[in-house]
Amino acid sequence: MIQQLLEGKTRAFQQFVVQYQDYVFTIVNRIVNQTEDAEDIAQEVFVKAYKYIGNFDGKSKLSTWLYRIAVNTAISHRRKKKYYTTELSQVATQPSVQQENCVKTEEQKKYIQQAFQLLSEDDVALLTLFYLQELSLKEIADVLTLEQNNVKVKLYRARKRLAEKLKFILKQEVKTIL
Amino acid sequence: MMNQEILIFNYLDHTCTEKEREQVEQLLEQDNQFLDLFLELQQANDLMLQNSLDEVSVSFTSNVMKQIKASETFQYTQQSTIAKFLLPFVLVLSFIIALNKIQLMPSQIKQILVMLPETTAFYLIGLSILYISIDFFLVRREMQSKT
Repeated sequence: MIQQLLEGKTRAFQQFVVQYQDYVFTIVNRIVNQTEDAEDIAQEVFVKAYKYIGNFDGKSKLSTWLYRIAVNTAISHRRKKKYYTTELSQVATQPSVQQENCVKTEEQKKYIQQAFQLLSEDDVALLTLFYLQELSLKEIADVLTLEQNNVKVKLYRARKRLAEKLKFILKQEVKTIL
Repeated sequence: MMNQEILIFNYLDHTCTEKEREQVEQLLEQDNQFLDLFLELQQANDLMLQNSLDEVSVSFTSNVMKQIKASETFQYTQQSTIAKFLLPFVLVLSFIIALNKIQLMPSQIKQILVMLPETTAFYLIGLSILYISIDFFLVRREMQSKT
């Protein structure tokens, strides 16, 4: 498949898009935190991948190379549009949807989105790649162009920060319900 | 404190040793502060793990392929435009250089000058047809190989 992609076969690229579109979209969506823009940015990622496939050196996995494009493109969009503007107090005053013992998937996504708004883009990228459960720590390090040990430490810190933000958001949610 | 967190993360990721696992379970039973920390980290971990992949819209793939096709067409057009201007320029230049190199008698030059518009026109038309055919053939072959 890689050979066909390198030869510029559009049919092979179409299969490639189908295979990775949800992963790329998830990475972009989590980083930019704006679903409306995320799909356009994810499309841009694939167009870039098609354009620069000749630069793929084969030293890493093709998916690692693609995710690197996705992370860089999404981070640059997030910085440009300053998505990362939400303050802790703003999240706390957002209205709750409903009270349920079991948190539904949509609500889970909402909490994670809120928490991600409070984290830096580097933390979000790291957490997203880690929880995709697709990549090893070494591959994550490749995507983010970091040392593997550095990734490990950064990941511990990011997970801790995420837990703190989620704890805060859920606490506020309970307060609003009551 | 950070050591405890690392211990918990490794426990949650199933990457801890047997000894560490026992240590965590013991701490969970004995240390309330550790239990609180564990629950906080576990909750975040579970939320992230349960949060599945986001799905793209149905038209995503076709939109990507349309964009790629559009960018390729633009690229070909750009290349063709450059060639369209460059090639006639080179042809005219070569024609002028060739005329200068040939040593001719004044009478012959006069004869050529009379015929010049006609000769040039035929020369350029012939080469343009040749160029267009090659360009068409190359672009078509490129498009076919990509599909």
